[in-house]
Amino acid sequence: MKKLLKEFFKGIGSENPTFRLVLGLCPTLAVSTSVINGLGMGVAATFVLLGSNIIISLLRKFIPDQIRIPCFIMIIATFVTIVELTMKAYAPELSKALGIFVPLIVVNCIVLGRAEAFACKQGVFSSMLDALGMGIGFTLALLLISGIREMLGNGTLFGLLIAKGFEPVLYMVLAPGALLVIGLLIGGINFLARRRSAT
Amino acid sequence: MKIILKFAFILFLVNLIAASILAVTYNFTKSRIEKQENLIKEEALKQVMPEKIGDRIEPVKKDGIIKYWKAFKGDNKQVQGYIYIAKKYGYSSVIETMVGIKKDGTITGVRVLSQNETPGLGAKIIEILSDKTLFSSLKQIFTKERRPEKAISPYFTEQFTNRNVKELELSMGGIHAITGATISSMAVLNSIKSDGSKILDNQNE
Repeated sequence: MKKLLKEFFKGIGSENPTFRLVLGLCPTLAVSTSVINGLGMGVAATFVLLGSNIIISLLRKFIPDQIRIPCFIMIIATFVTIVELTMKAYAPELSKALGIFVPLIVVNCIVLGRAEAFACKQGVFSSMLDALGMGIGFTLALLLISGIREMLGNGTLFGLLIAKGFEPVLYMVLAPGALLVIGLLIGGINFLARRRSAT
Repeated sequence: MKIILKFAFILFLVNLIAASILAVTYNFTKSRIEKQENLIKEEALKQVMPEKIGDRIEPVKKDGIIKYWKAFKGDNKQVQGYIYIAKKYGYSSVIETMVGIKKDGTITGVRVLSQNETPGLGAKIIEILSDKTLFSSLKQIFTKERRPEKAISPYFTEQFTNRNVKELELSMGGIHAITGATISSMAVLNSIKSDGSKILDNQNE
């Protein structure tokens, strides 16, 4: 039980895909301009991660080692397309805002990375927990980054004005702002982690 | 040789299952996706053409594709106005706007159908002025106090109304561009102007 809990929480904390493993930065940089976009991307990626991890873990004895990558990509792409179609049908606004980055979850290195490093070696249940933990970790990271960027860069949060008269720092919603925020957050988290391990 | 066949078979099997799952999902969502897209268009059609000017809207098709719409008033056979979709690449995306014009070129309404411009800059072409803040919205949840919104349409596209489509320009007395988003503003203006002029020039055909 303790081991399973560890599989779940490592994705949120010690092995957070964005801040500790530094995976999937491309979509993180691109979609973290507003909290709604960040949340949508996080949930979509979590769903794909969960689905692909479960299926890959189930099929891990059936898929030969030599052709595992094409099989994984196929499975991941199927889930991504399901997400894309569902989003278009039920959340057209969100699907428009995320644009190309939903189909690009196929090549999101978090998804393939977890399939390769975890799901193809472990049982279904722990793969599921791993996917959930990683997905939630990714979503939280996106929320944090997009929250900071939207607040400073647009003066809003969830599209609602925070305070009247605040002149937004446009720089923060553009690409350099994303790099700055992610860099400072990773630096800060590394600093805290190192100080904790030193004591 | 045998192992290649085995691999090919496994890949084939995986792909077959994936394809059939996708086929089911596609069929399941197809009608709803179409409905969503049509809904946006139908709503926009009503918004850009006031009923006073034209209440019957008919598509003009060429090779099965809708080119633009003609607006008629009641049973009158005389065309009262046109509605068209203008498209142009802005700063980071194609901006699609639906425009309604009267027969003489006066714009009756502009609505942005789709855009994916930079939030905070180009995306302001669809910004609606609001005096709501995060705190007042939170307060509303607890106090049940409702205040109606002052503005209901984006201020940028609002500027186009009642101007002549052929005389649009970014200037002091004309359309005011959005600060820091000249390219997006220009794209909207130019696409509306050139497509509108084309329709007006060809209206006797």
